[in-house]
Amino acid sequence: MSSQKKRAPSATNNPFDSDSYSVSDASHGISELSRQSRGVAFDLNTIAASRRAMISGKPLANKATEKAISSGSGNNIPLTSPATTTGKVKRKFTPARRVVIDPDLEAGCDRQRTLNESTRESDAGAADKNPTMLNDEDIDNPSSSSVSSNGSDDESESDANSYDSIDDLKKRRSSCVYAILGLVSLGFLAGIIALSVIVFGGKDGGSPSTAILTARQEALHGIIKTVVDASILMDQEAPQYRAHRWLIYEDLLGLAPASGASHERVVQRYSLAVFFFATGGARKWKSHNWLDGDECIEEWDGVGCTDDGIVRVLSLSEYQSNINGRS
Amino acid sequence: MEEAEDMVSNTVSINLCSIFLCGNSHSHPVDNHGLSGTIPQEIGYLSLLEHLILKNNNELVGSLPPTIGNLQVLRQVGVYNNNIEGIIPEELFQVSSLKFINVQNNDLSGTLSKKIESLNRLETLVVVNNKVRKLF
Repeated sequence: MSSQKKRAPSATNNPFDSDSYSVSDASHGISELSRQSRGVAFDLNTIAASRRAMISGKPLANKATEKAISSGSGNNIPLTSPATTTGKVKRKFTPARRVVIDPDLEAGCDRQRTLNESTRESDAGAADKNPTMLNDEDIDNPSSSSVSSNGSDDESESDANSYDSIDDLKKRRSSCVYAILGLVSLGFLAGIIALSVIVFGGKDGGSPSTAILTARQEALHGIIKTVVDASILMDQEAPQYRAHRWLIYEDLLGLAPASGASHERVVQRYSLAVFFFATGGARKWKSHNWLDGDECIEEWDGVGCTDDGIVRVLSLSEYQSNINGRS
Repeated sequence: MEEAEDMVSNTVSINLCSIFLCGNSHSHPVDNHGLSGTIPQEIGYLSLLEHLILKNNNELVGSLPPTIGNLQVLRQVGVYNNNIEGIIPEELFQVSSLKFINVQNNDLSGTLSKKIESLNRLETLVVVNNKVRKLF
């Protein structure tokens, strides 16, 4: 015992500034702290010192010191290791328990760490025998501790908190899963929309060459394709595209090859529509009745036809003269 | 020099030219219908068209489509007082039914093909106020 390194806690008034202590040191600490604790309140400096010691991973002097601190502060903090009462205390690192030194830090408790600790506690009950030891992880992140310094030390409450944390963790994981699923769904939806735009041509309802057509529309489209390159029908700026769309989707006359509209008649009406759009049409023409009804029966401005409904005159400058055959 | 003399800078008057519509005319009538843009090639699909009159439309540009040669019963082509450019397509001179051609007061260029002589029914040809040259 005499060979043991002795420290004089009273000299420094800090019994926790060394890695090891002897029983005599502990006894001295007991008497010292007991004497101090007989007062109305325990010396707060001593409590602070004990906390600093725990943060730095150093053990408390002995169990008596712990009791003294606990009784003096009115809290029940299990700060000491039983080993300190029997001899040298080696600095030990146990993953079992963690201690929150600063209650303010507890608010930022890492739930993942709490879950891990809860698991460890259930697996290794022996760890409870050394509740005062901090591991490096705790030192680095004291907020991860599960035992508060307010001295309540309620195991059942701690367990309940752990279970709550587990639930929270599950909720968080579920939220992450839902978020990922949401992003994937959005991406999938965007892909579908993009594909629809490509296939059906966006706001104009799509190119007739790729859109779903009725039998009548398909027949008209087939006839028009014989006189115009299909690529032009994809150019939304081309008059051919507009005339094609008008004839298939908008023409109220509703030419139907299946009902007797000849190839020549379809081409004639399509060609007049192309002329209309190519030369400004409704946007530039001063007046007209084009694209309204039958081009021959309704006598579109400047258009003259044979009795068979075939256009023989196109005169759009002096259509009121006799040259258009309407006199 | 000879080429300069052959320049059809103002008037092409051949013996088939009728009295009216021949000669220089720089005045644009006011019966503008408001056409603009170009004459589409689809005009050539009006296969039984006999009269094509598009005049006095200052905003009508582009060239005469070669498909006009498909109009095998075409008798009159009056595309004048516009801003049509390019050449007179040779296909036009393959339409043997043509009696009347007036393209004056445009921005046509190139040469007037000798094939025009094959138009036996042609009575009027007016190409004044363009940049067309005569090669025969």
